[in-house]
Amino acid sequence: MTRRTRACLAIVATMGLVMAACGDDEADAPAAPATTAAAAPDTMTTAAPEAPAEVTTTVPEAPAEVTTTVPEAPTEVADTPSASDGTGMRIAVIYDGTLDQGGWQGSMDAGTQLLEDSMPGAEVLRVEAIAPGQSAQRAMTDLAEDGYHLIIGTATYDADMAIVSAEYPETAFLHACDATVTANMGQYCLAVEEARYVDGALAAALSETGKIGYVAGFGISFVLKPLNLFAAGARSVNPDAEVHVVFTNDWFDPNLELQAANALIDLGVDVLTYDLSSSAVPEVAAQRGAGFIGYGYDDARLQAPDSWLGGSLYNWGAAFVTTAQEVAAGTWEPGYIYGGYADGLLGYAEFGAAVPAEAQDLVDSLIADIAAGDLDVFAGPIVDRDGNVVVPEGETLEFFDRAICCEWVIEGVQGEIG
Amino acid sequence: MTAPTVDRAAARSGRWHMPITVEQRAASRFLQQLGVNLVALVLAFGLGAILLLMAGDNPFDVYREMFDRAFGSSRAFRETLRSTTPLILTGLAVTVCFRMGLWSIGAEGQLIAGSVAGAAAALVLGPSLPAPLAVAAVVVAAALGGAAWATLAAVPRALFGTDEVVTTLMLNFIALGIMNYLIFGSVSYWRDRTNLGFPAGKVIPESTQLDPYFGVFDAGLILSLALALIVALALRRTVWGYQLRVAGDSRAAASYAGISATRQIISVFAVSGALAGVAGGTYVMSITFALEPRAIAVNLGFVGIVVAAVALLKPLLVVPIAFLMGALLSIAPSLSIFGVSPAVVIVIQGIILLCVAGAQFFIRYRVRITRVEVGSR
Repeated sequence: MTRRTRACLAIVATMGLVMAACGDDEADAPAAPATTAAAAPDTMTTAAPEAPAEVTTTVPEAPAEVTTTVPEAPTEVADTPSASDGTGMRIAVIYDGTLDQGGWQGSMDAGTQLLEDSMPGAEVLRVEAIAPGQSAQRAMTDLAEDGYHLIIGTATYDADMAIVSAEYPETAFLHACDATVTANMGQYCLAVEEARYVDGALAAALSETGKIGYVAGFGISFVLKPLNLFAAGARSVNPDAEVHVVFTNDWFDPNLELQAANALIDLGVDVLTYDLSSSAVPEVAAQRGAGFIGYGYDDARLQAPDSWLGGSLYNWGAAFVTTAQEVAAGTWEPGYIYGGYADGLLGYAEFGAAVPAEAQDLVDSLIADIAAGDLDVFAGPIVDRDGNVVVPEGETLEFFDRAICCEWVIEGVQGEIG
Repeated sequence: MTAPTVDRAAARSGRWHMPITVEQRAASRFLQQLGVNLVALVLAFGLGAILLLMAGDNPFDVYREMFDRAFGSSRAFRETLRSTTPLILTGLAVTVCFRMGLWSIGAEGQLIAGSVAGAAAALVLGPSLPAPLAVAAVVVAAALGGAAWATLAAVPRALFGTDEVVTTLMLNFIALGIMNYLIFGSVSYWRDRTNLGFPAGKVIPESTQLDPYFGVFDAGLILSLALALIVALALRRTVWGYQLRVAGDSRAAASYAGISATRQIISVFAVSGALAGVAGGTYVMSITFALEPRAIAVNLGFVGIVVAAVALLKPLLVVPIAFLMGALLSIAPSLSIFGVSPAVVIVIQGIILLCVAGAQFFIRYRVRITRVEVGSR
């Protein structure tokens, strides 16, 4: 009997270990709720702003067009003389998670969708669930060997792409928001400072307590830049506004995000926002009767419709299509694509039902001013919360400093950074 | 299988029989073991094929693709071998501990500790040392790092009998937390301060980056093969190995024979940790070229447990098992490219692992269906 029990135990234990070993990939990034899956791509595309071909131009849009939610991109692309429908071209887009996670993946996939619509002749392959490191190197090597012309990375593959791209000089590589630019590898990124400035202004306009909650991942410059500019936007509307931040030290930990959001509401916060993608924070906002402002994607508009106020939208597709067109035409020169509202790389989501017309007008006019170049969100004076002047009056941050900003934390941000 | 028929008469009298009995095989022959494993593989691929059909894929195409991507070209072979190296080392690390009955599941954390120490050695010594010495320095540092991390669990186990399953598991999370902190949470020595994008580790100097020989395998693989041989010899031919095996069979017998449990536990943990640490060091030198937390923490330590278990805790058997497991794991991205859903890839990997792991049960035990005669005895 004991022997039999032991044998059974042994097998159960082995199975458990096997499950632990192979199941962990999933545990790292559990799928978002079903609503996200169905909703993300659709809602993203409806908000896709301008024609991708216009990304290369620096002429700003007319204000009304910038905020429009009518998709008009695909048809305009076909009209552009240099545009190609991509016949014979093979493009692969590599994702860290799975597409049904929504959030960041969803916003990137909206970009891929735009790419497919804009270049119907091209073969566009989505490669999901590729972790950085050996898996990413393997995937990129296989794709380059298989003859793909353009390989787009949507997550933190910079080091891996630098290694693989050096071995395949004929293949074009494009990576999201990182450092490496070589003869055949470029970067694309969004001016998140513009997005968050507008979001912060909306938050302050709608907050009655003047306290806004911000749940974020890591206290790194990548995350501090949007946080700082969110606070700057909030204080442009209400100079006494406080932005209370909590870091979860993870990119995806719904349980911790839930606790953080609840703690912030206990603190007197009545509008919440995040720099993450799970549905935890919007759900807490809905449960506790607080407002919620999205960032980059508007999954939360459907997850918590009563709390939803608004939020900026990423439009990665503009960068994808521009690059793919240039690669097809043989004119691509790898660089750092970096743009905001003026370039069609940012859009704005539908407002929630509770948002009054004045607040909507405020957002529209801010976006118009930014797009027209009349409002520079990095214009000094900017003072950090220790009282140091980080951008003096009459000055601003140049492109390079914008891209790497910030190690400092602006006035009005409350909470420990770490 | 038929449901057990309850023998009412026997049950009333307090005795009843299961129609299935499990008994240990006296000794299983090599061919028998091979046969059981082959049946398990056929079963696994059969179940996988059903799953693929249900997902709308052609199983033959998918399996041909799997084979091609694992062994079909020298480039594919190189990828498989790149995955094999760390699995041999973590498999050996687990083997050493399990052979003594120490259920350490800390190879993951020790691998991370080895990566941190190895990357530091590469960054500090790499620029000034010639390539072979620099590589040796990284290996030694990684081994020491892994051993030190394992010792944190070994000492409480040896002195106070603290359950090593719990401590080694928890130390995995602490190691991961420290590695994340070094790159994401602070501007540490390991972090590339000049990198403007997502926080990344400093790239190690050229002298410590392992180039593949003939474009196929690198020094890390040779080292891991040598270590497999050394571990096998140490277990079979040294006093240390003999004492380890005695203690593994019976603690009481070992202490009766005057073998110091304290010293034995700490030394076994240290060797196990060193092996896992070397896995981390070679991983940094041949794959990530920097301390990259998200690329390093990919469960190589946990898969090492599976490798060791399937290899029946035999060091030399760890090598082919690690090779097959490496092939299985390294083709996942290729299957995604081929169009198989990532969920299906994970399930197929899981089915193959489960069937092979389950087969080990049938190698060690004989299952017999016994006839229950109602009213007998």
